[in-house]
Amino acid sequence: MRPYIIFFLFVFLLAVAACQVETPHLPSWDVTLNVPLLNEKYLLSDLVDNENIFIGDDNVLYIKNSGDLSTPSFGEVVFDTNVDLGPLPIPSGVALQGSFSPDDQTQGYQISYGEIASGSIRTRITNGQDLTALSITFDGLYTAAGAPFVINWNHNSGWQNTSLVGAKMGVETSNVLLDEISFSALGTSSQPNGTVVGNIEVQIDSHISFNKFKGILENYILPSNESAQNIDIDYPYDIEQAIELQQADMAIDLSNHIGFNCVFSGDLFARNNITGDSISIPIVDDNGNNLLVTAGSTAVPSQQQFIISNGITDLLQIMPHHIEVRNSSFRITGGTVGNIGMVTSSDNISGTYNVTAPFEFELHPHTFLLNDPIELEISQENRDRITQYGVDASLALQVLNMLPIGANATVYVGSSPDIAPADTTSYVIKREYHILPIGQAPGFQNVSLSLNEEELQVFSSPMVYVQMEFSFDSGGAPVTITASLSDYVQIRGMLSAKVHIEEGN
Amino acid sequence: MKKLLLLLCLAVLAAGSLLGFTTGKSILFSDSFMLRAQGCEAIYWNPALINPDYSDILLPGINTSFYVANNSLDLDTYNYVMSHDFLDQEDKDNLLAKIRDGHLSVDSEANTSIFGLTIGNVGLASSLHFYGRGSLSKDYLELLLNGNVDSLYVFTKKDNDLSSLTFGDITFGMGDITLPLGDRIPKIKVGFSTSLLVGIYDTKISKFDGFLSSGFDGMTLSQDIIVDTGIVGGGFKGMLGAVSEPMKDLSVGLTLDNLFGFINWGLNTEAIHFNVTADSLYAANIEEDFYTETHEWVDIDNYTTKLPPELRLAGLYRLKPVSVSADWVYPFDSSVIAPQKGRLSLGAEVNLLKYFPIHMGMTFGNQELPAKFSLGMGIKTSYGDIGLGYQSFGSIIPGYTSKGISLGTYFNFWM
Repeated sequence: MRPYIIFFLFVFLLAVAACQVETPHLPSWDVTLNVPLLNEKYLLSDLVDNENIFIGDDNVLYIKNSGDLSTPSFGEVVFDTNVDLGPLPIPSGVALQGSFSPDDQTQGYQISYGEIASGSIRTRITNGQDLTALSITFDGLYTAAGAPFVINWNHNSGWQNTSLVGAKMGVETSNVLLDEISFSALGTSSQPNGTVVGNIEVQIDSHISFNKFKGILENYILPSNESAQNIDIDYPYDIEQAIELQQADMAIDLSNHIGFNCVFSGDLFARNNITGDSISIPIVDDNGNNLLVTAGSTAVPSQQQFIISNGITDLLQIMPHHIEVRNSSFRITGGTVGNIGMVTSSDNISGTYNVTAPFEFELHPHTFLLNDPIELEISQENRDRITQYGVDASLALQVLNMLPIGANATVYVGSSPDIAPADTTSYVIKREYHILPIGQAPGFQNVSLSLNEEELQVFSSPMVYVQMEFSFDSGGAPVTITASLSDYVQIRGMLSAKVHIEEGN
Repeated sequence: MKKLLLLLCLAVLAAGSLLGFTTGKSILFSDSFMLRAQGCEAIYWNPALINPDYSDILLPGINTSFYVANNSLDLDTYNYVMSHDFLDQEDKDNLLAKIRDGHLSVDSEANTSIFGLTIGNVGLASSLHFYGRGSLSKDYLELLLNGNVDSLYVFTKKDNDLSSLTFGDITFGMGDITLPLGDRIPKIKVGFSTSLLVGIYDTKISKFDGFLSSGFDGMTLSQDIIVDTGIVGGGFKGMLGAVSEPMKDLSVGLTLDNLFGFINWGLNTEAIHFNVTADSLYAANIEEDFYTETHEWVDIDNYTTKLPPELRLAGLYRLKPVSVSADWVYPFDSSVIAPQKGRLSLGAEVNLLKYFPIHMGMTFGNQELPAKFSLGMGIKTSYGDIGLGYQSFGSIIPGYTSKGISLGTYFNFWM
């Protein structure tokens, strides 16, 4: 009997072993996909355009606007030497002596030496029937070669014009004024010596221009070249609407080729095109005096820098879009030897002015919309997953704010690159979060933004665009912004999407 | 993703480790079979047992065994997964908690006889063998089930491997050779067998290095895999066996298998090199050349699959109607055949009913495979033996806690 019991026991064991095995059927489940989306570092040095915004030696950002203060070439010095002598009797065989002043009595200009670029002198002989020849030799008026200037009568009875072009007045090495130009007129005739054989008249009734001049030009006005003095400022990210600068100064660098001291006068005008605010301040030193530019020379110009603080801060606080120098000119006040100075027609005063303001400012409430959205390309595979199986998702952000100011950040996500915060149809997702300043949060700050299923569908587009907007905290206290490589806001983002996995996926 | 999971599972299922030449009947004793083999099976298990008193014939396909088992998941887990439409987080956690030693490994093996014949003390047999082994890192399964987290995943060949070997053998054996040791010590019979091995297909991962990290620092990944493949090869192995009966009803035996064993792959050998790398990848810069990928087939030199020697000691005690046996096998080196870990198998045959022997056995488990338990039944006739049975992995009785299944059939015609 026992063998059969064992046999049946074996059959029982087989029966126990006959387990139910389910038909192969894969269930579904949810998977969380963490997809790194972006890692953007917004460097403050990106603000630097090297046109209006620069980085200083101490990494402090500053606004610098440069304009031109040059004058045109001095040009020819125009003298109104009004000479009208005669008629003077001409004795035969005896020299007639005379003289005249070369000064411009009208302007008060006086000459020591001059090279004549234009001008003429005219003479007329009357009643000279017996006169066979006449020559007039000048002292103080020379030919280009340095010989005394001579006029020979041409036997005409009318006015005889003699060009002075190329002639020189005075001696170049002289440092004294030329008081007068004298002349000697010698006529010859068949009459006994001393017999009056005619009359002579000498006139300079037109302007004489000098292309090289030495003398006194007191109060001579040299206008600035105003067409080159305007500055137009294009602020990046419209920062002019967000900040109010706290300090600024202006540096004027001048290079004077003119051998005369000059006094600069003019106004600095600024205008904000958005607010319409404008301001005009005189360009004077911190003591309220006009700027005195010392004399230089053609070969060795004088170099001077003027630092002006008064009023410049007021001028930049309106965050101007346009700056210009108005009513500017240089007025000659003296020369290199006493009041005597020298100038050539090509001499000028060249100069620039730089309005500089470090980024120490107070913030105004304003939002910065970054220029270009971040582009995300979503693969076809992930698009299909999100479209068909996306359940929910969250957008995890890590923000590292290395700046001393906090900010409210807004992230916009849409399927079009033309994201406009004011147009709610231009984006699908909008989330706001606050970023603490580095002093309060030295490391990455975690921000978790949940997305609903509808919002998640934006990631089913081939291209997704992320636009960032910042509004920095306006705490009322001035802040100084540096722009070293460690001054930035970094944003890292990761999309955490729960995806439903099922047959066919 | 689910297709990927299925592919990975199939790849793992298609893999396995070599545990020696199994025959249809040896499965029913959990490989405690060295002293039980007779006739054609003795050619593979202990040629010293080939003797004129037992001559048989093996027919194609009848003596067949196969098994598939894994180290972690049992039938109950399988049924649970397949019977649910949705796996919640607790289900996934439970599933992952079952993964042992950091990976899911699956072994499979199939053997089938082509022919066999023993006459006198010689025998000739041929059979086909397939061995496969694969493992998949637990981290991969976590990625598939839970997705990625902000962490570093490192993948190495230790936890991610795939190898398979298919070959046939033509084996000649001779036994029943009595050593002339005199009458003072028990009679010792020895035998030998030599196998001509015909390689059919071999594949193995020779390099597997990879890592994946995905977080706020971007996604960084690297995967470098080299798979060597060989088609058609030739090889050899030898086996020495000895058996003695130091006392009545007690037999002891010893075999040295895989002597000079190798298969040289030479007709078509190539390496598949797959490499992909990406560094600090974000969706925002994905339109750039964000990763580099190479995928190439390279002809490689002939290579040899070595079959390391294997020592097997066994004892068998017959106390009618029951016989019990113990086998201990130890490979001298790790290889694609088996890890260098000794395994102990116990076997028993109960023959209460004269014509209906019951076979049973067990093998103690190790890190790669759980313990296995076998049970089978045969029929003895005047023409030969016929029988079948199965093996359970990780469970004494095949059931819901089994982690694998093995089936074996045998049919020996006596001559």
